[in-house]
Amino acid sequence: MRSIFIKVFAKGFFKKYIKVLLFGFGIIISYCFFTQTAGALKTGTSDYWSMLLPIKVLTDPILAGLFCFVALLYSGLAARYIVREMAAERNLFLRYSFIGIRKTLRWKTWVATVFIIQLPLYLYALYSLAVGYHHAGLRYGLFILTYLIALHVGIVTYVDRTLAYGTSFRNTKSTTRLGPLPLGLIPLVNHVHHNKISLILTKAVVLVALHLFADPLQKQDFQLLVLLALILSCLNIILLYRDFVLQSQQMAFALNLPYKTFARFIEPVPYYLILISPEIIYATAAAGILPGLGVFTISYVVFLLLLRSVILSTGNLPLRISKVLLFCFFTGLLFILYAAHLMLVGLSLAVAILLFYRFFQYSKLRDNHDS
Amino acid sequence: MLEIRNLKVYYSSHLALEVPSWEPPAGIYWIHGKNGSGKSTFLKSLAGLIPYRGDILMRGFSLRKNPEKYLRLVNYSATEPVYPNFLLGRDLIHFFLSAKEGTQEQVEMMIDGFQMRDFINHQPISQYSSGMLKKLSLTLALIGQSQLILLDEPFVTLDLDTTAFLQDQIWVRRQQGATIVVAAHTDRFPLEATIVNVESGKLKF
Repeated sequence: MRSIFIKVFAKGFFKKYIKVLLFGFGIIISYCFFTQTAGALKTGTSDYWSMLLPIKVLTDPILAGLFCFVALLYSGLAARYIVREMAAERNLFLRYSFIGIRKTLRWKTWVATVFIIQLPLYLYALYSLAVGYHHAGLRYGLFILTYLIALHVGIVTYVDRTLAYGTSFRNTKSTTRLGPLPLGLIPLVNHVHHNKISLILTKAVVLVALHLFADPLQKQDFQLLVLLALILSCLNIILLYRDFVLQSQQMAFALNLPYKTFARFIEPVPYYLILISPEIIYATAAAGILPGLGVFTISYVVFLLLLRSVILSTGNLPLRISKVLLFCFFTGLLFILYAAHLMLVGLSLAVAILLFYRFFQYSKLRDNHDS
Repeated sequence: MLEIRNLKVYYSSHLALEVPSWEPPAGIYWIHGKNGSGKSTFLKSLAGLIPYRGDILMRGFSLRKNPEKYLRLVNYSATEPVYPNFLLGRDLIHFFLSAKEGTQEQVEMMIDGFQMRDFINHQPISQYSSGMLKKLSLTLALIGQSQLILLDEPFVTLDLDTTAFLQDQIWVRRQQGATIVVAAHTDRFPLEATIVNVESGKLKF
């Protein structure tokens, strides 16, 4: 029974979310390369910068809190996946067979299955513990482990009770609104309806990254501000990809609306400004209204426009998008390291426009389906 | 008036549609052909939904050079319309009403004619049946001052009453000087129309 459950639920979970996990892995690897660069910039602290993240998870309450928050979201996703998968038609026989067995055996099966699903979290926690113990002691280490175990028990309890007493999914109910929805805000509303976890997780990661590197804002170092904008825009890639999926699959009708192509290109700018408003608010609170804030905001929006055009030119291929993203990031990093950061912003805007004009009708999506 | 000059549509390297030249006078045109012959590709290229080579003009406005002016004159209804499922029907009507310069009277007439009053204001699109989606799509296609109306399989999933209403609307727009291009692979077309056959991506008049 245990091996069947691991195959159906644990392997199924990883298979379904492999793209998201690879994105996250890619971002962490990019982060490690970035910290190596920062380690090169700040001489004599290479080891510290390389191990910054695991050390901070053990010692900084905000990072520890973020890790716990990410673990909570991950666990929630896992729990939701298990319940929905068990409710699926193809697993009906499995469900009825399982509910009839002894509670002890049910619990043992769930504990093993959920352990496999939670393995990435346990491994990272243990890695942080090992690194943190060597560098900075075990300040929040035991708390994090205890928290993960509590989450584990929580998922098992939730899943077992839900399956024992039946599932109910929220039905879509009729809605009333005060007025019509602006066209440009549809992607934002889509995130609220369908991508809450991605939205919250992205914003949490972005704000923590901003918190970690808030120094450049106060020093008005334009070079580092543009670098920060580049990093933060890359961290929004999942939201941008979801926008692409929505617009190419459900909003193709908008191509028949009478807008100039350039108007279509800049149409998402208000939406992007709302999306990055938490970062702007934090930057304003941390550093006040400074000339640097304008450079940061403009760079951020330009890089988001560039990434949108890059996704349009690549199509619905997440792995290829992640490779192109890494290429864009490291190319941008080179420009910044050679003090060509303002040129980078201008060039990014030009490339974004050119790519958009070529691919705004989702031709790459069609080509990828045909090939 | 519609002008097509050396239109070619490629899917990857495959030439899916080729129309060297076509300048139809105002009227109703029935695009007829087998599955995969290129009917929908033809309509989508005229609607600005897919990239193409060559040029398409409506009243002298090129889709490539003046997309804003061209698209104000061209409306489209898809075979299987897809919209964001959290939107309300009236959200979409609002977009098209302002973009296509329609009137509220037009909209109210369409809502009553297509019998959409019960669901258009409060029900999200996720709860629409295929017939309701089709009615919404046709309403959007008939809003505004369009001179070229492109309807892809408009009679599929419609009930008898709304089919009759749609036929009336097509006829009224024809009388107002519009060009209506309807793609359908039925055996008989319910209106007087010029038949245009599509075979392997080529139009035969």
